[in-house]
Amino acid sequence: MGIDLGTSYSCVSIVENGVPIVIPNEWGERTHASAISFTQNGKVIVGNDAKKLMVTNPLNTIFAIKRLIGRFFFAEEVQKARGSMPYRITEGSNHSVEIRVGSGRFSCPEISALVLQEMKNIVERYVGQKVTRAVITVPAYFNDNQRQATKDAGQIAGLDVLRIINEPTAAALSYGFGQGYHQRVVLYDLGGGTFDVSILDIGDDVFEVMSTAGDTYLGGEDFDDRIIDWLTDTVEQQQVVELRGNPTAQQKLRDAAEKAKIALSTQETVDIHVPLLYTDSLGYSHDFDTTLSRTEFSQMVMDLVQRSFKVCDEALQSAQLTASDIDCVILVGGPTRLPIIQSSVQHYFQRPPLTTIHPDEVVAMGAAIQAHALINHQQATYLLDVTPLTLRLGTVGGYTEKIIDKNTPVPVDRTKCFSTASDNQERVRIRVYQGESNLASENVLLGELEFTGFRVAQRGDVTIEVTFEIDNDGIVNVSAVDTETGARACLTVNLGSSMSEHDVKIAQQRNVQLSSGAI
Amino acid sequence: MTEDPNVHPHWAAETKAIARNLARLDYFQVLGVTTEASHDELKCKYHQLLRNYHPDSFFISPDQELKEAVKAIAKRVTEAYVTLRNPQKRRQYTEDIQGPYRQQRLRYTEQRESEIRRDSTVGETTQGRQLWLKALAAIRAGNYADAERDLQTALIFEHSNTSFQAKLNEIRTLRMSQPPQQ
Repeated sequence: MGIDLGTSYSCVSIVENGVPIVIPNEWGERTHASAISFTQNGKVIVGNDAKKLMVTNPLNTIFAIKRLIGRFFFAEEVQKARGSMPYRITEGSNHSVEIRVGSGRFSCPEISALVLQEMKNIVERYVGQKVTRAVITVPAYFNDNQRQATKDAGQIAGLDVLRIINEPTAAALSYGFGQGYHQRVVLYDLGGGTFDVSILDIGDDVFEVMSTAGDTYLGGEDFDDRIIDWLTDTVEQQQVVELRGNPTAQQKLRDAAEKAKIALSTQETVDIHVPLLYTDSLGYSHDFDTTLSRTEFSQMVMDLVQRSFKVCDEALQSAQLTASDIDCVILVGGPTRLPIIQSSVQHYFQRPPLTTIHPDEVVAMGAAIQAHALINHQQATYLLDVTPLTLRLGTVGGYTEKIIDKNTPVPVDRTKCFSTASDNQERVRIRVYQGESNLASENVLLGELEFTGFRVAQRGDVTIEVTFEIDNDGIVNVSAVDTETGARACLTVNLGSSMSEHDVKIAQQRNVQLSSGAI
Repeated sequence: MTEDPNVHPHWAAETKAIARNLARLDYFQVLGVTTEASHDELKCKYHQLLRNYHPDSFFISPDQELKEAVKAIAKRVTEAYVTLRNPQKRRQYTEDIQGPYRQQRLRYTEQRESEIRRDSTVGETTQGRQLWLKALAAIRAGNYADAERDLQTALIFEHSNTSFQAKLNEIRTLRMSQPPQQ
């Protein structure tokens, strides 16, 4: 199966008789809210039903976990979420992020696993047998920590994760599969929480990613936030009430904002109605009503739209192309239905974007095609993807040096030699980063690695050769050998977000208990 | 060892042999093209090789050694293509593999690139910088005697420049180990 694990919505697809199809749940819904609600009576509800509980059960309904997965607690995005999310986010061990639900503590991969499990259940209900092998998609601009955490989530959900692939690449695969195209295409992928642009050169059965760029802080939810802020300001100006610290009111506004945004895709103006939003000094509850026009909304989000084109500039530049070299522009993700996005994209690329593909389903279908290709020997597509971020090594004085450039096709490896700096040195420590800055502090730390178990000798006598590899999942692997003896050095990760095998096992058991309602 | 039933044993053995030999090949040899190959030729060759050696095609292969071999080839083929499709890198790389450090420079890395960038900014005086660049050009052309002389002169202008001194020492060792062929 192919799973599009989205910030706001997820979708699952399988290949049947050589054609990818989206699997609906038992109520015929084809996309499912990536929301999990822990109810008072100990039940765990996942999907669109959980999203409906966001208003009545705000503290125990988790959504948009993808914005937090694979990040350290001290990351800016996490701190921002602590202020805006109604559920509780606390610091776990090793600077990880923990979600508190009642007395329970959950890691981000554990929460994501519940969504993945629901996708697995939907497929199994449809085909009537156990299905475990899956390809899961991630934003192209996800770093190693985020990819690893997503893979962990899949394992916790009891999936055999065949591959992690990039969302725009999956979309391109779904677009070009079996069509015999020879085209340069741009994927403009605006999801719920992330934005990616990829440029691909499709040559019949070869799908070569030329460049990718993105912004993991830009998505449809930021568009909602603009409406929420505007609504909050409007209400607070008219009434003496405080809405910002009230989780129930915030959820009602969030709900209203998303609905208004979607309505503005087809209407010029929308009437916004928020029931029982605030309570006056006498204790009476009041509804709130207002209207929002498409023009007003466009003004609110213009800077967000502009930001997306900065990213497009970057992708074109990396591929050494200009907008006129592009043969086709494909829109991916629900928010691309907004007229402001469609008209701006048309203006930027000087051509109307393709409208024949389904922006919510195309990614899952591409993932299903890839899953099918991996487990069948008769491979019909050749994917050549790239690493989105520069891999770096920490050096003295808080600087870094490049090991593998961004937009280098994967899999890829580089080796670097290190000599011991003092007599009888027993360990060599390196820090690995991803990002585009020479300064270590401006990049994302992937981990601190320590090599031991090589010969102990005078300084400079021992050289260890360290190999950095980025695999097909976009995940970084590091290994080291003593060049003289050929002995493999032991590697310990001192700081890193990935879970150990043991952690994953424990989480798997917890996941099974949770799904059966035992916790 | 488990054999892959989907591939010919002969092909599997050949693939493993190619993988073992990779360390000895330069990028042109890896892609099977001449140093004069055009961009289209490179791309065509790259796609053709990847259709044969794409790791995904062997995802379920029971032959672990074959999987590793295919992956190693795919990685090196891609590395070769990515370097050679960039005209600047291609020029530098071609020069590198024709020079005295061929064996160490069969792979073009980000480190090599920053080394080259660093090299172009070495020196604090105008004369020192000019002589340094002249020496580097001489090394590339194989005129080590000229390079040695240029570096010695450069050291007169900047007698404590460690880069000049290090390069000079390097040249001297090189000249001792490889006597000039007249």
